Amino acid sequence: VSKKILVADDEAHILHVVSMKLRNAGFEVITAVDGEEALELCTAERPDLLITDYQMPFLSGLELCKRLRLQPSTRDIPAMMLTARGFDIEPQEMTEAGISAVLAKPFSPREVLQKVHEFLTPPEAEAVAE
Amino acid sequence: MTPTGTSSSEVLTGMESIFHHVRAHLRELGLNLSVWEGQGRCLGGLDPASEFCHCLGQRASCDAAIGDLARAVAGDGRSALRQTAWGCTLLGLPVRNRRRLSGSAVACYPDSQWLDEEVRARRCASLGLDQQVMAGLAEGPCRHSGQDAGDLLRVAEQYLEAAQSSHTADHELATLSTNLSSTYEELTLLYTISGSMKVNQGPQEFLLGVCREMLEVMNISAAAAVVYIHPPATQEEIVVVAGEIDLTAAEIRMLGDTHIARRLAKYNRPLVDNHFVWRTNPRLGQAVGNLIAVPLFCEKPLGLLLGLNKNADEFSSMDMKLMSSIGNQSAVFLANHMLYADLQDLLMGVLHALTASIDAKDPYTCGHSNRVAIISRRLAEECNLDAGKVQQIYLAGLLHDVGKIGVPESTLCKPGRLTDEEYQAIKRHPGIGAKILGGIRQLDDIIPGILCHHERPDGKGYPEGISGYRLPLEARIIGLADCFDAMTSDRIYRKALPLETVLAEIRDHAGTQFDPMVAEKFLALDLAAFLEELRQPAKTVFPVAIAQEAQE
Repeated sequence: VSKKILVADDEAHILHVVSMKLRNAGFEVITAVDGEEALELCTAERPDLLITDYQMPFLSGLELCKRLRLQPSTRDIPAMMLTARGFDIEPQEMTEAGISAVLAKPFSPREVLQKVHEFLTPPEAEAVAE
Repeated sequence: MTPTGTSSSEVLTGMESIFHHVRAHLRELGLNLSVWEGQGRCLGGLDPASEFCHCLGQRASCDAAIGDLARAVAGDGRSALRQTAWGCTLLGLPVRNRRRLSGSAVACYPDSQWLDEEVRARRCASLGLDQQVMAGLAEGPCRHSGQDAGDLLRVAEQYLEAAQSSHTADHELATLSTNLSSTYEELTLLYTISGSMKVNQGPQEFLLGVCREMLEVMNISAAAAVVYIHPPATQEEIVVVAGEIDLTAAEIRMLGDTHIARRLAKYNRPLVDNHFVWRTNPRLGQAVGNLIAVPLFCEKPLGLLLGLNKNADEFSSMDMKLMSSIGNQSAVFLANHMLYADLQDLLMGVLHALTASIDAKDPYTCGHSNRVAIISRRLAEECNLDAGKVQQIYLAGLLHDVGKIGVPESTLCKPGRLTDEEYQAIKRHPGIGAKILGGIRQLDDIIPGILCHHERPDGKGYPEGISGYRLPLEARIIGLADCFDAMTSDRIYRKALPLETVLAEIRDHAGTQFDPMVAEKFLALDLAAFLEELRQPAKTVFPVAIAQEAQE
């Protein structure tokens, strides 16, 4: 069964680029155009991974991740953040929001895919590969 | 559900073109469309679609009925139909923007029963309208029956949906194109910078080019570069500014020193400050709203690059990545340039040391080679030769006597007349010099100047006695420079000759010993001043130091 990834970004081109790369790599991709929709979809669809933009209307990526941690059903969804902010998010805030990785824009789609593989490869499989 | 606050009407901003399209389509069907924001305020479209509606609206409370429906739809987000007592049908559609219920649209039409004489008479009577007038106006507008309302509602919904998705697609396309074009610009910027990395151009020129490119691509008001002192490449600090900013070069330098250098050194990555405050100097701080800075770093800090005042925006990680790349390339250029300048300096140092050691064999010729080099260079410039040739002649002038290393000191320093044998030994020095340097490929071009610097246009020189056009120009130039310096310097066998005497000598021997064209150029110079200049202590330490020790 292919893993399900939710990509949330209000910029259509980022959404297109990331989902295309992930779909071609065999993932099931669902998309959201703002933080609220992403929260709804996380709750309803329980994706295996969330890739979210930082700056989005209605609900920021950071706020979205924090909300996920509050609901038992979405608490364990790993999150990766894409950001165009010129500076890093405070490490403490990242831990609080359960953000496992931050990629600064412009990123290469390959880079995203590589990170996704890192997240979604179970530790046992890695051990076998080694 | 209803959006609150003043932002509610803003939610519909940018959707004007959508409503414009939908309204035009519905008009063709005989429907009038009005648009309402969530709070129940009409944003347009209430003006009557026809003369019939105009007349009807004066008696019936159309606007109030439409407004009621609009508020209801905007309240619960569900489409709805209404029939008014005076025979109008209202279709209410919720309007969503970015998935949010943001308002509503109401389409309305007078029903086709207005065409029925009996119904019309009853309605006109209750509204107090002129039956004759309304009969004449009803034909066009009253074309749909009340039963069509459901179908028309679906049509209206589809129009709205289609217009919205086409609007979104247009918007996405525009964003994509903008992004693509700025990506192209960034790529081109990097290509341009790597293409302009020519090691023999000055860092000032290169950095100005870089700053101008940044200005074009990054949408900033000003760009600046600061390069610290790194002899020999940069004898003094470089501050380059492009664009418009209310700061002097010195103030930019200060900005770098007080605010940026330390923060950059700490992280060694781009620094973004979108809310820049210059606490110690608010006046200067006013000139800078936000900034981005990268270190120019190649093994050691070389300087920094600044982007100042992003127009109507903040610096983002895109700017950071671009700036990093520009910074890296610029640092590589600077490092290469410094290496080049360093090697050049080393070469010149070695050559000066070599010639100084020749000059040191005879205390009277202290600094001679250096002066001949300078005079030759000046003459070459006067002859309008290109920079490469001028440098070649300078080097040949510097090394012209290198062959004297092979001539016994007793001969070189002999105070009295030379014997024939001694004179023969002296005459061998151009050939020896040419041989010594013959093994250095890079110096091939300067050998003719060295070999022939004692040849004369009239063929009476040595070692070969060649004359006329076969005598290379550089040899004529160095020959004249050599004689001039010899005559204006003290020698063991005589004092320096007065300048007038020397000039008369040169004038008298133009055409025989000296090339007439070169002599003419030379005599046209302000030689008294030039001589003064030549007597200044040389910048390189070698000739003086070695000569002094030799004298002791």
